[in-house]
Amino acid sequence: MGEGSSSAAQSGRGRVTRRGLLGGAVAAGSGLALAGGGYAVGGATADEAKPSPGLGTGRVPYHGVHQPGILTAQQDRLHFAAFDLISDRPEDLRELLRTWTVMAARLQAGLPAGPDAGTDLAPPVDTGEAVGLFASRLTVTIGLGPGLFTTADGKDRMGLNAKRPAALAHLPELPGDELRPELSYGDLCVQACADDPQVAFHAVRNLARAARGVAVMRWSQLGFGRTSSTSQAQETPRNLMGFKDGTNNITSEESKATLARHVLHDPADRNAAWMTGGSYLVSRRIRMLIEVWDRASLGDQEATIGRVKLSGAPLGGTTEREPLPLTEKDERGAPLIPENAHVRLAAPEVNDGIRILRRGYSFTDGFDPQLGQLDAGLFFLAYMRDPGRQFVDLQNRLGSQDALNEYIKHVSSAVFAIPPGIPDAPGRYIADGLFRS
Amino acid sequence: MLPTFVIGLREGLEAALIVGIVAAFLSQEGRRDALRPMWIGVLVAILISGAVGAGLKLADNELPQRQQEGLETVIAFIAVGFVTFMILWMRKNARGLKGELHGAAATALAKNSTYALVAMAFFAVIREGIETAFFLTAAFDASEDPSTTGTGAALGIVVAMVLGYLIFRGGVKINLQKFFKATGLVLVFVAAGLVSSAFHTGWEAGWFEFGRGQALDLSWLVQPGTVTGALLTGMLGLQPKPAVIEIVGYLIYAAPMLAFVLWPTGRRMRGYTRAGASVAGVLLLILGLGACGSGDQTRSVKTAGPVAGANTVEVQISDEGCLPAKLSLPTGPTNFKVSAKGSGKATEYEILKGDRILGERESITPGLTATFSLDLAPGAYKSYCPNADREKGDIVVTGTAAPIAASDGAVELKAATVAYATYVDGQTEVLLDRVKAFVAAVKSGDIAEAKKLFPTAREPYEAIEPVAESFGDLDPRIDARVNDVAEGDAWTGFHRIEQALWKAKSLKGMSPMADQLLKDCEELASKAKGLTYQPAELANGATGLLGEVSKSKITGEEDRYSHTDLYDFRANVDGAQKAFELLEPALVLRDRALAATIAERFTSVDDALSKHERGDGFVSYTALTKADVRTLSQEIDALAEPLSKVAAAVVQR
Repeated sequence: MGEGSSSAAQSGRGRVTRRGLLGGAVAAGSGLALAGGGYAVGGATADEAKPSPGLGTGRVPYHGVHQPGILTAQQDRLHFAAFDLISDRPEDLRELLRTWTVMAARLQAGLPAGPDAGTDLAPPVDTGEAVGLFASRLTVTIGLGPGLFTTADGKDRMGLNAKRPAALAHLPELPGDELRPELSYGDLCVQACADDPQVAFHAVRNLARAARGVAVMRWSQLGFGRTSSTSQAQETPRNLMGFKDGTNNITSEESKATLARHVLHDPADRNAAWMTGGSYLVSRRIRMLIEVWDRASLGDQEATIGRVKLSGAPLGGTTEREPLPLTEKDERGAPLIPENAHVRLAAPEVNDGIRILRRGYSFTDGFDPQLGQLDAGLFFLAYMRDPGRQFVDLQNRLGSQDALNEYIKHVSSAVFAIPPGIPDAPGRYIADGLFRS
Repeated sequence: MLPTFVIGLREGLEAALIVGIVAAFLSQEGRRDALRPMWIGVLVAILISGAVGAGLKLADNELPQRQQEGLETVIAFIAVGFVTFMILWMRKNARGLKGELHGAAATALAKNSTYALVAMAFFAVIREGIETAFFLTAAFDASEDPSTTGTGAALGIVVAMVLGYLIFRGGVKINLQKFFKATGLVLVFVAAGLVSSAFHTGWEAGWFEFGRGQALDLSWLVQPGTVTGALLTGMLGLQPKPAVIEIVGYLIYAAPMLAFVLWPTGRRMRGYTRAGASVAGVLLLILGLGACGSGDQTRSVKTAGPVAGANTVEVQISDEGCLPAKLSLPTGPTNFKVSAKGSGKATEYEILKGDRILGERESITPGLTATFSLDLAPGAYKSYCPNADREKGDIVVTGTAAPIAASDGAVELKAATVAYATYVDGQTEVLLDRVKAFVAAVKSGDIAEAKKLFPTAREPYEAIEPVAESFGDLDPRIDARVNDVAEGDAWTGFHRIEQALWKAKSLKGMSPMADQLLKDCEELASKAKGLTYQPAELANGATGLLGEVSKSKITGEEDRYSHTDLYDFRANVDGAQKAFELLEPALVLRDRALAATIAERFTSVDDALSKHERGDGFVSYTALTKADVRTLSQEIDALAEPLSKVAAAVVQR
């Protein structure tokens, strides 16, 4: 990459750190036009098409073949929570899932968590902070962790083990893991996504409240901005490193066959026929060493990722969505995209065609008082057919070779089975198939 | 109108009789000056009676029949005591007077005796006055035609007063000795009648349960609902159909007293005086034994007013008997709505199980209605309308033994609030005991002992903290932490001393703090006395206690110097559990699942907390790991969430 493009990119940098992308692109002038043209256009169309956060009148239907919040065009905000089940009675779990299902459907419809109690003697059924807010395309996605089936010492916890999906297993220790157990794992999860953060928070809060005595929150994560797109209509967003992330993500527009092959439960797993239409979720809280990253030269940053920072195009390329030139070399014979660049190691082409549906969010939990640094990064969420083969293979490679590892730490990890969606029929609830004999 | 007239006459006559005699006597003795205090006494008694009636009306409440009966019994015995005294006194003085020696008699009438006579008039009036007030309150509340009802009663009382006045006039004119003898006789009968009716009301108050069989039928003579009947009952204490216990009481009193009064003067009076005086004692003893013998607790809970949500059944008192004569009822809380028709000779409706009265209303004259409630268990009962032609009817209660479906728990809730008041009083007593010991240790400078006593001294306080918080600045004075105190305000109470004990390690200057703490705790105890509570207050108080745990105990901020937070934790949970357990019977009726969940989660909290017990107490807060704290915190959340729904569950409907 030459000086010119570098300085051109630099000249625009100050202005593209916010969402006013179009202005930044225009001001960057012709030097940017080639590299950033696609990006600028994309930004313009997406900005016009997208509803403003907080005015999200959109409602995502709750009922369907898949749970909402997987293929739904990714919302801007996330509140994710993992729970430990503190009861060992299957009926408690069942009742909880039933309650959560009813509540989730109501919340997605923009209704309060439950009907009004009609008395000022009781605490309000709904906590109230979403009153007057729109549904904001809220989705509430419920998942089941491995710990529901098998305890740490291998016991069949509630007699559900026979139906445990083969794909639902704790991840093995992976290279680069620096996991904090108190921020990892969980027997249940709730992923609430919405265009209004308060709406997402409201959903998790009310579900957590309904769980009291049966499940306790184990850890929770807020995400303030999406770092991937699950629809081709969406602009590819940037992560906190300032790079476009997940350009080659699986999107909802892809063929059923692609989704079935990469994202949805494998019907060959006969024990877990109740999971048909479901998926598996891997969550990783990836702390970025922001201060270190910010000291890296632009050249180093782009080489680390394998893309041009501003345009999102692969190094040596011109547009964001063009294929990665994995085999091409520069004039000195070095690969255009370095061997240890993140995009190369993550590319399906070098991973036996492995693809996953990413649904990550940027997070900050404020400040790390121990180090006096920003506590921020990427909360990686990805849906897939089999974490043990997809995510584990990917991370084995990335964790050991990725140049990005210098700037990140995986501090939290969890895996959940995401049961299929349910039809709008009385008595149906998420994971009800698990309890049917 | 006649029925209320008769009741007014009957109630008024006893009082008028005694007042008339006392007045006549005082006049005869030339002690007209003593008439003034007597009339004041009478007036005060009337005013008190009126106030009782007005109070009941204002409070929109009726004194439960059982308490009313108990009150009447006690007053009757006091009245018997005074009448007996008067008889003995008159007898003694009549002997010495020999005719018309007014001067000597006046001298003999010592000051104390005057007051005794005044007091007698007072008690005679207040006894009948309160009874009349009860009756009139009910009459005006429930009558279809209050003016007629009231006029009847008022006329009855006026006639009684006229009779009393006539006695007074007559008494003034006739020879003193004859007057003494005559009135002495009449008073013996009046007092015997009082004894008899005291046994009657005592029995109805549930103090004893024997001797209830009917002994005689005097209804040919004492016709209920007639003027002569009223005169006979009012003046001679005769009942139409006296029970064994009433007759026995009557005779035990009347026989020796009559002998004493009629005995030729001048012989062995002292022995008889003693015998006469001991009669009342014997009667009280019998009554006391009876009360002791009735220890069994009836399952049926009785309240004065109607109970919401209970099954309501309408019954009627008629001349023929209780209507309907045969009644079949479902198990569970039942409101009996009683009305009356006919001549008014029967004015009382009772429900009996064997010889025991479970519930009743009295003085229901035609046109009046009244309600009482019972939680009926399955079995056979009798309805009982005294003085009717056929006094007893049959009631059969069927259904499941547990009256759950039919009950909405109002009775249980009432019991819960009453029991909670008792609990609070108990806790303040323990608090005072422990704080006294703690304060003593502080004042003697014994740091080790004070440290030892500190955590447990606080426990009763923490158990009832919501009550303390209801008294403005009492809670801050007793329990403020250093950061709760506004700039310029004094920091006092437990935590002030805690700081001295653990941080300053010196009790210098703590003596006044200790005194203040005890004073504040005493103020709390006295203010808490007599407080009444609503069911919702119990429930919200329990939730509030768990809020206290979440806010400051689980974070170790409560006892930041001593780290004895887990003692407070335990006490908060105990206080919440007590309130819940009292509400539980009612809650089970309304939301069984909620009750079960809460009970289970209390156990869960107990288990989590008991892991940190050491000896009689708890480990230091600093010994808890982060995971321990989190577990305890989430256990409290799990419990408090369903607990917060109790208030609505118990109050709704």
